[in-house]
Parts: sequence; C-alpha cells; structure tokens
Amino acid sequence: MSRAATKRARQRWLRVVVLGLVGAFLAYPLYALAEFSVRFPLTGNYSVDAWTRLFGAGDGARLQPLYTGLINSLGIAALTLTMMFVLLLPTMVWVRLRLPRLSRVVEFVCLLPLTLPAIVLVVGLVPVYRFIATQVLDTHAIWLSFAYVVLVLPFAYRALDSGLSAIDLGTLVAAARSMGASWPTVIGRVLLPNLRGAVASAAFISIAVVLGEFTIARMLARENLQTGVMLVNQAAPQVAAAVSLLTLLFGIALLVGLSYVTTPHRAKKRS
Amino acid sequence: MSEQRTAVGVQLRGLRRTFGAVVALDNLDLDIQPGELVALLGPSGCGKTTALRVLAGLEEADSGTVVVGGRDITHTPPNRRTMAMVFQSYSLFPHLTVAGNIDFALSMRKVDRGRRKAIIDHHLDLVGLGSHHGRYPTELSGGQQQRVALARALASNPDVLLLDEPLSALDAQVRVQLRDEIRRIQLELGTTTLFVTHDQGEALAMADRVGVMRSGRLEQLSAPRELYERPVNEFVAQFIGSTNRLHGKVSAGHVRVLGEWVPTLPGSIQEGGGVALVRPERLSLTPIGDGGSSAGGGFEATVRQLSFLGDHARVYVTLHDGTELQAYLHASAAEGLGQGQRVLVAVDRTPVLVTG
Repeated sequence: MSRAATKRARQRWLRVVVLGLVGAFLAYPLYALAEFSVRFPLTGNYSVDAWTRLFGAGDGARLQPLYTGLINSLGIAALTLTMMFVLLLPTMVWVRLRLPRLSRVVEFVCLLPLTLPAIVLVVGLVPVYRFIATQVLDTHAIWLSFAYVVLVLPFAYRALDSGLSAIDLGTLVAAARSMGASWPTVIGRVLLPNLRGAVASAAFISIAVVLGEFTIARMLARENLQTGVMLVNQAAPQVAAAVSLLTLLFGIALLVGLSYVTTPHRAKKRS
Repeated sequence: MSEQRTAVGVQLRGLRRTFGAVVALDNLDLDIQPGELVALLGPSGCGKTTALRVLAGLEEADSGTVVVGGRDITHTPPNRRTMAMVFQSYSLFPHLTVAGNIDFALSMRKVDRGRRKAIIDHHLDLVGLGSHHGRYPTELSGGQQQRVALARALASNPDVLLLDEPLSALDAQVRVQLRDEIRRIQLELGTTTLFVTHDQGEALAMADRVGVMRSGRLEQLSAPRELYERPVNEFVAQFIGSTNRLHGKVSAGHVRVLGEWVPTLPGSIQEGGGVALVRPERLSLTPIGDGGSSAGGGFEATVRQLSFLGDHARVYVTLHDGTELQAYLHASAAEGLGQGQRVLVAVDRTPVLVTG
C-alpha cells in the first residue's frame, strides 16, 4: 500500500472514530431516556407500561396535562410561524429593497432576544400578559405565540437573511412588479418558491424552539408541551421520559428534514 | 396569440428625482412616438436607468409627470402600468420553466388559460427558442435567458417595452446577434420601446432616436446619424464616437482648420478662435513621395501608430506643431502606410461643431 493510500485510510478511520464518539455523546442521553422509560428504577424490571399508557386509553386523566400541552404547543407553533413569517418576511424584503441603511438595525433587533435569558424576558412579559389576559384576550396558552415570535426571531432572521442573500431580490421583484404582480403575488408566487429552503429552515428551527420552550410558559402559568411533561413527570416519570424522548426525536427528524429540503442536490430533476 | 395593442406614445415632463444630494433626474423631458424605439445613452450615473425605472413605476419621481397613451400614470403603481421590462441581470424566475415564466406574465395580465399556450409558443418561436418550453433558467445560456426574458416581456403585450441594458452581460457575438433580433421583433410588433444602454454602438444600431443624457438631463435627442454628424454640444460630440480637437478661426459660419474652410454647425461659436471637433473619418491621409513632393492640399504629418481593425484602420499621426490626430481609413486606403511615414492630412467640408 502506498504512503498516500495509508494516509487516506488513517484519515478515514480518524473520521469514523471522531464521528462515532460525537454520535455516542449525543445519543447517550436519548438512550438513557429510552431506558428510563422502560426500566422501573427501583426494581430494575423492564416494562413497556409507560408507552402503552402514553398511547393507550387507560390513564387519560393523569396524562391529560400532556395531551393539552401537546395540542397547545402545536397550536402555538402554527400561530407563531404564521405571525413570524407575516411580520418578518415582508419587512426583510422591504428593508432590503427600500431601506438598506436600516438592515443593520433590523438585524440587531432580530438578534437581540438571543442575548436575553428567558427569565429576564418573563419579567418584562408578565405585565404585558396580565394586560392581554384581562383587557384584550384571555389566558389561553395560544397567546404565548406573541412571546414566542420574539424568541424565534433570531433563528428565523438568520435563515431568511441567508435565503434572501442568495437570490437577486431587486431584479426578481422589479420583473414581477413590471409584469403586473401585486405585492402579495410577488411574495407568494415569486419569492417564497425561491426561498423554499430558507423558509423551511426558519420554520423547522422555530417549531423546535416552540416545542422545547418551558420557562416562559411556566412563569406565565400557561400549559404547553414542556409544562405538561413536567406535570406528568411528577405523577408518572417514565411516561414523561417517553414523551421527552419523542419530542427530541421529533426535533431530530425536523433537522434531518431541514437538511433534506435545503440541500441543492436533493432537488428533483427539472426537465 | 395576444391581441396587438395600438402603439402608444410616452411623454415624460419635468421629471426630477434625487437620491440624497445626488440629482439623478433634473427636469427631464422626453417624448417617445407610438411604435418608436428610443435609446437613452450616457455615462454611468447620468440618470438613464432612473428615467427608465420612473417610467416603469419602480421609482417615484419627486416631481414631474409620466403620460402614456394620453393617460397620466405618474402615481400609478408599476403592476398597473401595462409595461414590461427586460433587465441587465437575468430576471427569469428560477423556479419556473421557460413556459412557466411566460405563463406567469400572461396570468398577471389575466389572459385566458386556453389562449396562453398559443401565445407562449408564438413568442418562443419569435425568439428562436421554440423547443425550450420545459427548460429551467439554469439550463439556459445567458443569451437564451435574455431571449426568454424578451419573449416573456413581449407576450404580455405591453404598452411600452423597457430594456435596461439587456445585452451588457452577454459576450460580443451574442450581443450583436440579439440586438439585431430585438430590433427585428420590435419593428415587427411595433411596440413603443425605451432602451437604456451605455454602449453607443448598440444605441446607434437599434434606435429610431437616441437620447444622450448627462447629469439627469437630456442633452440631445436625435436620429442616430444626426446625433453623430450634428451634435449640439461638445459633450455629445465627445461622447458619441471619437473626435479630433483642431484649433481654428471662425468667421462667417466657417472655421479654418488644416488649411480648409469648413462650415460650422449650429451651436458653434460665431467668431474668433475656437476648437473644431472633427470626426476621424473626415480626415484623409495622402502618403508623401520619397522625393518629398506633396500632391494636393493638406498639412504634413508623420504616422505615429497604425491599428488594423479589419474593414478599416485607425491611424494616429502627429502634425509638425505636435498636435496628435487620429484618422479612420478604409483598410485598402491604409495599405501603403506605415509607422514613421510622412503624410498629408486633409479635412473634408462636412460641417463641424466649434467650441470656444
């Protein structure tokens, strides 16, 4: 074997070892969760009881917070995504086209939530939500979407920004407008299809953030998936572990889906 | 096929547009006759693209009016202006096929679905891409993309076709081919067209009239030949083609240069010393024989450099007083010339502009 071939083989092994170690590091908590969900801690006996309780109908009352939280979180995620795209995409397009000098300001505002711990956000949000609950809307968890839009801004902004940078925005918009397209048509039929990867990326990351959010929901006393998990954890910790595992797997599936959608070579053959 | 609209005229009146301290348009007036192709030409930053974008509605004018077909559309949004634009950069929608791009334009103009296929076929045939319906923009060359962009623009049957340097991203051969095609199609359809370019060759070759802009103003709007032969001021004369600057004395509508009394153009100084702007092809060079005899009139000069350009040659000569001149000669007329050769320089009596 030549020296070059030996070197390549060594590098390949090194890659496999490093990837294996990283994979094990990331997978071990999942394994631990999975094991905890099927092994009773005191006796060490294995049982799928937690999973059957989760998907069966026998323990509905005890698991009700979980189901309520899941439904709430899905609703919150849908509303958060809708509000985020409706607010952010046209704003970013407008700033790029008409007010490029403001792009740094918009970027700063959008990235600001990254620097604020959730607990600090809550301090500011409490009076706002008190007002919303008593004067405008009600105490339903769906209105957490307002806060979550702020939370997902940095991630969504980054994803959309890179997507917008990759297309000739000014020319596409001008071409569509000069052909008779209204602004909603420009965004819906010209920009969105060309920002598919960026939009999917923003959506998936935002969903992952929303499904994993606990602090704000807990502090504002609203029910979402994570508060449901916490409540169930107190009564049925193995079921809570199963739910946490499913949530994490769902998040991983989202990220894999994200890479599938955004990788150019995955595009379907076009002729 | 789309029903052909009656060609409409365009009037831009007193257009002014500023970007901060920069005045892009400074009381611009421009009339385009129905069915006419007008080219706007000028150096970078002269306001030609801004004028086009204001006409398209993509820029708002600070003041002034835009009238198309007798209708004031100054404040009409671009999507309601019934215009179509072809851009310098490739503007096809990447997610749509060639046919899909044209279909988009037709759907925006609310053309019946049943008629769209025939219109798409017709316009793709018009630009010579009849077999490319299903291709995506990334599968086309630059020239093909611009052809599709042109087909897309024309398919929507616009009142006014706007061309914003559509050829500048293409290589030289494709440019010439496509510019001839654009002109052919424009004449065939009779669409009123405004064409912006910084390439004077394109403007002179394609346009019915060419407007030369400077600092947001239209310096001259004339037919190509008139623009070239009868520039109204020094800027236009210098910007279009090449000129020799020859000092001479003006008297009674004539200027004396190279020993010849040449008529002056309107806009020239009336009396006294000035600079005559003489086109290189207006100069003739006659080799002086070895014996030093100079048959005919003219000034003696020495050939400094000779560039062969195919059908003609560019010859740089130096007069005795050190003045540098350039002359364009037919290739056959330049055959006997060489560097260092003594020649007689003469000027013909075509009117010239004389500046102070």
